[in-house]
Amino acid sequence: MPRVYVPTMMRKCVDGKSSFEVSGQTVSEVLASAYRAFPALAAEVLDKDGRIKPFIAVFINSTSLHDMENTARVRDDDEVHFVPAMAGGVD
Amino acid sequence: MPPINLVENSHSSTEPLLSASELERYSRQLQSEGFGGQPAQARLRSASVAVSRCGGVGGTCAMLLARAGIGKLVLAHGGHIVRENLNRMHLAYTEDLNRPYTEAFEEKLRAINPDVELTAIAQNIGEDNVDEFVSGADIIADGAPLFEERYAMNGEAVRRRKPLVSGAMYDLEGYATTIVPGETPCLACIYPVRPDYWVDAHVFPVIGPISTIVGAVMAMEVIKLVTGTGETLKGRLWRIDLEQNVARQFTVKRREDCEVCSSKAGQLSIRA
Repeated sequence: MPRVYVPTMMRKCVDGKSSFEVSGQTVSEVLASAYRAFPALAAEVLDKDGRIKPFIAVFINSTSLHDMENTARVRDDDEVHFVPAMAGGVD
Repeated sequence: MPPINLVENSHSSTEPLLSASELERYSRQLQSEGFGGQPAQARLRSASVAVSRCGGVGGTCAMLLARAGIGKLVLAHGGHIVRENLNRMHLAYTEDLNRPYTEAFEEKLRAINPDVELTAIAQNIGEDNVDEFVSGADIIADGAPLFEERYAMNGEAVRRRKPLVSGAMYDLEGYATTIVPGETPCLACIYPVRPDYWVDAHVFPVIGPISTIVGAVMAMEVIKLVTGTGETLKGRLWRIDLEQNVARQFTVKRREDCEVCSSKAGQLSIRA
């Protein structure tokens, strides 16, 4: 099954997990499965119109969601990565 | 990979490329087959890099560039050293508490490599000083903790078509990418707006190894850009999670509707 990798700042939404498996054979099915499993993740990632917030980049393996169709096939060994914008640096 | 064009390169072909002292100091990196030998070292000596800010991420980058023999560093960092900086800042010692950041950083960098020309701006970068900061450097290294600073440098780097190496971290995660205006996505292509929760510089936890590794990758990116060594992170977002020891590279592309670097860019400002 595809595996979703969760960044530190979102792990509070997924019971502290760093990754979890999801079902689905397309991009939209896999993301929907992740949001169903963890509604708090959906609240963190999606805006009020259901779109991914612009400061969160999502990749299937190395490819950005911007460059994929929602109907694109996802294989069992594929990875989903949420990568929110960071600015640390240092004070 | 071809190296970038430098602002100045005054070396005459009749002069020896490196002095005896330089040959000794840099002998270990000169042994690296991919590095490019004395011509690469001479290019580093001719290069200038503007670094903002110079703490856990940027300070690591500046330190490694000084050790590698970069010609000039422009350091920007406002404020004074406080105790909580000491868990990660390689250029800040306990004895430096309450000293201006740039004063202590210049001192440490000069001790590391007195051949590096140093210029300090004892302020953080914003719209009022970003032009001065970017204009005199060949490359910008961005390790700032606020998106306002990052977007200001990104916009000016795009305007002046100067490469910008960007590195950031949060907790035990970090990422880096190399931006070459006109060729790669800019910061605003990847992240058009800042996160609504990132409201000040104290928002993120940090343990020294993650800021160090991100700063080290940034320094290597600068060395690659200057010397033509290896493959850079142009068009790629490199991310590491030190908690899980997971590292990946993601392909990032320019956005046709980018407000900063696309042909449709009307102004160099970003919605914050």
